[in-house]
Amino acid sequence: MSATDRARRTNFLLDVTLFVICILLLTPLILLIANGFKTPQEMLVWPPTLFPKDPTLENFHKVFTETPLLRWMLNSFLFAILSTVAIVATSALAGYIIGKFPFRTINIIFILFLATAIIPFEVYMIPLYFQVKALGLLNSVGGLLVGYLVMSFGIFLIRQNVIASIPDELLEAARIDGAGELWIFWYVVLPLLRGPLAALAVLAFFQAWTAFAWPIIVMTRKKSFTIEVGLANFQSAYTVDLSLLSAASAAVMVPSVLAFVLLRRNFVEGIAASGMKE
Amino acid sequence: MLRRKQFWFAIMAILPTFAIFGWVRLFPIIETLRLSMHEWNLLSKNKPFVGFQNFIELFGDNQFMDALTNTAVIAFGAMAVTIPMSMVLAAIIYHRTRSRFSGFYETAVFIPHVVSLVPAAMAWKWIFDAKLGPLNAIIMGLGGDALPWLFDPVLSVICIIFLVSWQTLGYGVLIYLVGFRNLPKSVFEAAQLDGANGFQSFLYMSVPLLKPITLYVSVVTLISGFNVYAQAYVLASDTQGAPGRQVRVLVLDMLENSFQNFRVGYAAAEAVILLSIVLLLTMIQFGLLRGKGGR
Amino acid sequence: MATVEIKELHKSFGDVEILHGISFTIPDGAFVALVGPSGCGKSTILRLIAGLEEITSGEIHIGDNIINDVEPKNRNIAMVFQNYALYPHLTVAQNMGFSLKLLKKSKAEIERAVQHTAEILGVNKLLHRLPKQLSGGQRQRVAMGRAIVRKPQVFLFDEPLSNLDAKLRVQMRAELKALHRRLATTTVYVTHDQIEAMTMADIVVVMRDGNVEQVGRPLELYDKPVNQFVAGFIGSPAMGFLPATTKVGSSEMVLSDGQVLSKPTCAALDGGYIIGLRPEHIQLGGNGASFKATIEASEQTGSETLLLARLADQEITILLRERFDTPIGDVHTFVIDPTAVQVFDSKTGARLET
Repeated sequence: MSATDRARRTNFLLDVTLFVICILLLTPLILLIANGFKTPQEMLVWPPTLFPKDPTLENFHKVFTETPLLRWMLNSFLFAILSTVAIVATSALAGYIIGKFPFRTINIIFILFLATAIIPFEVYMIPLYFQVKALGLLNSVGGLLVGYLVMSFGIFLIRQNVIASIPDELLEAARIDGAGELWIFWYVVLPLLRGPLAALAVLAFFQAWTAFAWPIIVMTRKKSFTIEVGLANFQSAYTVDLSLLSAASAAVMVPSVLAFVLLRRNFVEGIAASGMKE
Repeated sequence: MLRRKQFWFAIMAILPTFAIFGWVRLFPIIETLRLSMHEWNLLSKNKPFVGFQNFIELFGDNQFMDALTNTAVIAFGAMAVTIPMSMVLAAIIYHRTRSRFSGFYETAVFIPHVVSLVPAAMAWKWIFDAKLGPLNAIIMGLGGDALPWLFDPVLSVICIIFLVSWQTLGYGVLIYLVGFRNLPKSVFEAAQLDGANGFQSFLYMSVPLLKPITLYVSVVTLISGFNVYAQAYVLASDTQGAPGRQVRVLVLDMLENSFQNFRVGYAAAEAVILLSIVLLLTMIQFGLLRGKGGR
Repeated sequence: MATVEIKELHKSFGDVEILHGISFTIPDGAFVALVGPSGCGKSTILRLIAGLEEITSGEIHIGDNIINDVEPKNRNIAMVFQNYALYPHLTVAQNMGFSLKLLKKSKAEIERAVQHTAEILGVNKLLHRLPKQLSGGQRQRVAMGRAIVRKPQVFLFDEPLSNLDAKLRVQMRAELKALHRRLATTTVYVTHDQIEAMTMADIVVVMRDGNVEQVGRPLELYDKPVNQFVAGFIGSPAMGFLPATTKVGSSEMVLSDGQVLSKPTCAALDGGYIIGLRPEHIQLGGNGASFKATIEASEQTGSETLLLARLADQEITILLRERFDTPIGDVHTFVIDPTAVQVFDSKTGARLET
């Protein structure tokens, strides 16, 4: 067998293996979506069917009209958008300052940011909860936001980018031309940070959208649940109706997956950047 | 003159972020540390200082030790599964970079990571369901016995490890792919000429050269493993349906102590222990990384 | 028997053909240099011999075997890369012993072979170091050691000296040549530096744009270049070219400024040609064809003088093996032996025998 043929055969085998693995990885999700289309009776059949024999849209209809799912999605969305805006804004400004204004005070602040970056949110969320309670912000998006206003990694990411891709001379030239500092930040620095800011936005949105531990203690009233919390508690309220549960989960899942497939590049950039921070 | 102006701008500009940071990060962290040495039952104004008593009590507390053990097993188990699998998968995907399916592979592998925790857990909950799930159906079809996946103490932990690994795999593959792309190509050509086949190249070249990445992914997955909560909450409801009680994890125990047992100081002590574990793991990572670079 | 035979080798990357039918033979034990400007395809040929790239069409033989479809590791060849490609995570000893380890040789055998090779190359004191702890020259030697330890039938070198500083390069050239004499293994050596090719090789292959221009011994290429490209490529400083005309029966080549160079052997030629003058053949006095040129620049190295002169509206270089101090702008008379003047066809560039 020639070298080319041999390579081709290996590649084919590898492709088949990868294909099978990928399908296996996606199977649980495909089954979930399929379950959403089954009637409640079919869900109780043994052995379980893979695909619905009699697909119905009834579950999805119920999920959107009879359960608070839509409201939960709205809550999550509002929370995620606001968090993203806050994180992007604070990270951009703070990252810029830390990167281009190396005064001693600023450096000390940076070290503080860095030191607390590795501390997981779960460690200090209880005192933060009491703060939020004291402010009367429980069960509101504002209360949720309190935990997700800044992202240490975001500040770090912007700082790295600012140092790597914004030359000091550019800022000096603008200053000599008489530009004010804020003007420089808005018209010179921000446009250059478009890429990393987009990646950060995607990351921040994803972080808020999938948050669990914090929303579950801050939101106790069913109406204010985020999707994650709502779904998790769904099982106790609607235990018997598995197909409804699956439909609800599928409804939550599909937008995220779609968003990912569309925004893949930004997403991957953000995650890869977090891997290179060391 | 210009420098002073810049200094004040810098301070003013960073003040809002720093203020927020101080309020939502620094203060709570310090509070946690402080509370861990006090006793507080949420209702009274009294928060007596108790020194290290909370910690001493924790280590005698069966529920806590249970949670600690479970969490550690999940964290290390998930890491042990994720690292080799993502490295091998990344190696194969990298080898097929030029295939027209490479985009599909990367996307497919990463989707489990992107799907938020709860829907993913729901998907698996059904699969693992002892009476209705396809897993037992397949096992019985092959002639075996159905197993109570989610209700057996050992099996349910395995299920959680499985779920966590499934979710983390994509992340690991992504990071390893970046690593593979940065490996020097000529080194592999030299190995090829020296007689290495694909598998030997992977074992003797890729694996050692990727050590920094393996280290990083290990620590990240370990740390997020110790913080596991949502997956246990959903998958491991006990026989009465109370969520997460079947497999107690640290975060669950901590929240229970704080909001159900009304022992905030005690819960804070748990948080401090969690923090110490995370710090320890991070320091080990730094130490190992420096050890390699220093020589 | 490790002769290497290249037959009608074509290589394309996608739609672009890089090699257009290369053929030449390397005798067993010879040191052959593949030389040419960047992009001429010399490294590609090396990689095809190694098996790191696939052959589009044509054949490569090593000894009696066609090796087109043989895997690199089974071709029994070793390669030294331009950037050495040492295994960064292995010690010098492990680097050199890697191929033997893959062959499942015993630890004692590997140690012996590595030690022996390390001594030949003078790196036996460095066996426990990592590549990043070595200097450029040391890394080069370890790369060679890794190749030698396998006792291959062909050595491939891809511009191994280009990352070294000038002094080290000269030293390594001599060492490589001595090594080749000692090991007597067929060697294919790629370089863009024609001095390296000329000083080290038994046979030189000059390439341009994916074609072989000339194959021969170094002095053959110097004395009898097959065309203008080879004549200008081999030899440093480079040969100067001037347009000139002659009539049949005349023993003179007339330059564009009217000056006349006597060259008795050009009597059979008629029309416009390109003549080539090697800087080192031009002298200040003596017998021969004489011409006047204006000095534009002068460089003294202590024992030689390099002059940039204008002759018949062209710039030529003159290398005098003596000191010659002359102000810029002066006109001088120079002499060249007519038999050293080369004549090329002005359309094809081929050298004409005169």
